[in-house]
Amino acid sequence: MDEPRATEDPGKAAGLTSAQVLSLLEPDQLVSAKRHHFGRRTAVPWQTVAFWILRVYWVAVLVVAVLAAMRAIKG
Amino acid sequence: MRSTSAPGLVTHEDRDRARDRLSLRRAYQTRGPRRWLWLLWLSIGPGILVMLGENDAPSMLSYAATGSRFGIGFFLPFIAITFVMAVVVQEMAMRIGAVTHRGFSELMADRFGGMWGGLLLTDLMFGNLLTLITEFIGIRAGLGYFHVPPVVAVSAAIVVIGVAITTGRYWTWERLIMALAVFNAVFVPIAILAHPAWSQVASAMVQFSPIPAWNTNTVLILVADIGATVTPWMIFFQQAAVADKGLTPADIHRGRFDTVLGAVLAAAFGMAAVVATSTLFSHGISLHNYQTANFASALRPFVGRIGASLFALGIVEAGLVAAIAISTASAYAFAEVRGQSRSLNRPLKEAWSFYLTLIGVAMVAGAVVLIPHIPLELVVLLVNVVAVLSTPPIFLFLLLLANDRQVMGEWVNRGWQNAASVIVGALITLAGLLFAVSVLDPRLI
Repeated sequence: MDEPRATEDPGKAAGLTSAQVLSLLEPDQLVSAKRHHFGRRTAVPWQTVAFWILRVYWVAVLVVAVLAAMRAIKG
Repeated sequence: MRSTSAPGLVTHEDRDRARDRLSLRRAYQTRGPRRWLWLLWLSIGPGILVMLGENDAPSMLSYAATGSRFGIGFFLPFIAITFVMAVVVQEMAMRIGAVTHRGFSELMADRFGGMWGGLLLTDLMFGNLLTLITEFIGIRAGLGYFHVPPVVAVSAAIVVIGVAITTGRYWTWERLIMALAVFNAVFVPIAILAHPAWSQVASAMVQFSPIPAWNTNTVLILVADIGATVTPWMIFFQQAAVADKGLTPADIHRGRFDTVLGAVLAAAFGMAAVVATSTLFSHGISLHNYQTANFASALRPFVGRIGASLFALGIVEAGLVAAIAISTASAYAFAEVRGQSRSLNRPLKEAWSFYLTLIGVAMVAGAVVLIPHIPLELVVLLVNVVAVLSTPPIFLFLLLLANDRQVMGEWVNRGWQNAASVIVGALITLAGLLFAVSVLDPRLI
């Protein structure tokens, strides 16, 4: 139900044939092409370090958010 | 940049997007002065929507509070600077969307893995829900000025969001919301009605003065203004909207114009709110309570009944446009990570989970606002905490994607764009740290 559906020739219904639709859109703009993925990137050393810093940052953010909420509740 | 062979499957979404591309192609083929305007008209949208969406109810009330507490001075040009920062960030999101035709969540999960994609999605959904609650607070308060009961106000807003998505066409949805967003301009006539000293306005813009005293309140307003103009949902929304609109690398320069135009309009309307309420400052009235009705009632002796009513309506509009944009950003991001249909070009029956998420988050936020005795001040505080502290990591990933040659090809960031981004990133991080310190121990600022 939630998957893209191809009608017999939906382009034609809008005054466009499927061939015209294909010519108007870039190849990777088509819904069916979007099922393909770029794939994981390989992180260089400084990015690996940055990602670990980010993990620590997220934990710190969580602590700050909880503290802020607790202080606000206490008034 | 990736190239794929064109598969034979053509969907309803492809057809609608192709119709928009055909309109652009026809505009390209015309001659004369109308050509540029026509091309521009067809290309603009996501940039204007994201910037005017960011002039949301809490932002406009924050600007109003700034005007009433500090008058015309440093904060007026500072608002303009924060929008320059927003342009640097949003231009990257627009460019990535036009080149890859993918939303931010999808690319994040693709390039950095499901853990980061999921973490940022969780953060976004939580932050967006809290922000949506503040938008409904604004809508409720704005309509409350006209004695509209809260249930009616919230329900009416949800109906508007629902009607907008029944179009089944991105283009129609975009034009409807843009028409609504234009009403953000009501703050300009209110500013004029307040009869400010225009020479003082001009002087403040040029000299960044008078500079307010450095204290916790000043720092919090500085941080709030930065947090009000560079937020996570804006990145997710504009990149996904650009992809949904079908913009391509050939449209990037017009996408930049769209983003800058949106920023100029939003900055002008934000500054107008400051100017409008500066009349309260000059009459010794300082409102510490951010309630819409308080501002509208306090402004009434100076801007008249019409001006006060416009102020309340302006807050309603700001909340409504932001609620639509934020709930759409949530739906885009959620569907992207789950690999589901994610386009406003899809009919309801083909993308029910996308539309259900969109209207669902709005309904949950609206329902929360209607709960009696709910600590809304706590929600507003948490919105600021989550928004200010979660922006730096998201900005880092945006910067990495904008420099990812495998994804962006020749459209990677240039040296000056990276330099500008580093400055903006440093300011955003500094704002986050200051805010964290202010939460942990305000005496340290």
